[in-house]
Amino acid sequence: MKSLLICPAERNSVAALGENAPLAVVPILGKTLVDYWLEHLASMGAKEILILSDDRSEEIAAHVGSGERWGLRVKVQNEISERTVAEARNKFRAADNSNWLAAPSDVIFMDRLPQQPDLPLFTSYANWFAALADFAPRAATPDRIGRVVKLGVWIGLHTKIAPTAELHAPVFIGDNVRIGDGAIIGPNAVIEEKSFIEPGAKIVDSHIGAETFVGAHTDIENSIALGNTLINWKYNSVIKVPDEFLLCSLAKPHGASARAAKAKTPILTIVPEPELDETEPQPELTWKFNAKTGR
Amino acid sequence: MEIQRQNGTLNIARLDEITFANARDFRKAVAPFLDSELKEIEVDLSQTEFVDGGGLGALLSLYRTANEKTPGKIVSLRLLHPQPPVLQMLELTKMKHLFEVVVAETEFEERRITA
Repeated sequence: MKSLLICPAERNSVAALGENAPLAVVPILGKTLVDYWLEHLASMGAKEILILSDDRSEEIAAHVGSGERWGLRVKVQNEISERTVAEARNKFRAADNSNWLAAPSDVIFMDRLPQQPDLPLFTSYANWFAALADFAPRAATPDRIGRVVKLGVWIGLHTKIAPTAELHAPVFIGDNVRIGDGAIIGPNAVIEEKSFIEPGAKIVDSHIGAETFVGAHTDIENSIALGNTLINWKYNSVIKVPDEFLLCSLAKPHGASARAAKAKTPILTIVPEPELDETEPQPELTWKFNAKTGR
Repeated sequence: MEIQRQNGTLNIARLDEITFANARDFRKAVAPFLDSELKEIEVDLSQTEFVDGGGLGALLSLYRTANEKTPGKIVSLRLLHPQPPVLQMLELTKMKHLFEVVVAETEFEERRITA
């Protein structure tokens, strides 16, 4: 049986989510949107899946590989623009109309998680968080390795949590996460893999992206934190936190961003301070400030 | 930056940004207005678009210096109408709980609907 998945293009309403990866492969409760759909289609009997994407298709292709993991044959095809379900159905089913999954599972537009027909992900940051919070209890399927420390608190593999940290259900914590002393996690907290939560931090009604450092005694509420990007879904406001001790990314830059970082001049230059004469007005600035990066 | 002193109240307004880079200038500009008669400080953040840890440190240092100059009394620091990006930084660093932050709720509602 065949099926077709359409990846979402970049969305202005949730632009900050798709900054580091195409929306289809942004971590959601330890997996990605495309993982959830491939699993879902495999369970419905699909064997062959074509993925259409117009946003960083190579990253999606690298993520899904050949599809063997799901017992599928998967191919990623680059398109110049996002196709609608009807367009894709016309184009691909017209060419070869045999052996497709029954509609509507023959062509799926991935703007929501499977079995969440009423919760679109990409219309606003608030909706993204609402869909995640709703999905969290169902994300810990029996095929996942992890543990339930108490009702509604799911913890992934190799995650270490200080005994003095407080966990208030519902909480989902991914693999390889560290949580420091006295941190308060939840209610309604989702922490993706390889994140580091320092002592005393508080995370309530929030989603912490993969490989994100959350500084000591910070307070993250009603927010989505991805690296140094902090999105408040209640105010619909996005900032880049300029101070690394508060919030930053732990991911090694790769691909184009790594090359750009190498090419960049040092972001902070120390200019020797001239000798001060107390009677004279002091020199304006001794640090050169890069307004773009805010450092 | 505009600094006004009316009896016991110090008003600071028209700040574009408070950052590590201009924190020293900020402190120097405000210092002459701090004395033992001061009762409260109001910082109007409605035009401030960007703050970082250094800028928040400058606000904290302003609060502490003001209180050191008025022994036996507490000078309050009020932050007026911060825009959402600034408010996010105040919440992240828990400074929202330390100072009185005056937020016009209706502004956010409008912003959310138009966004």
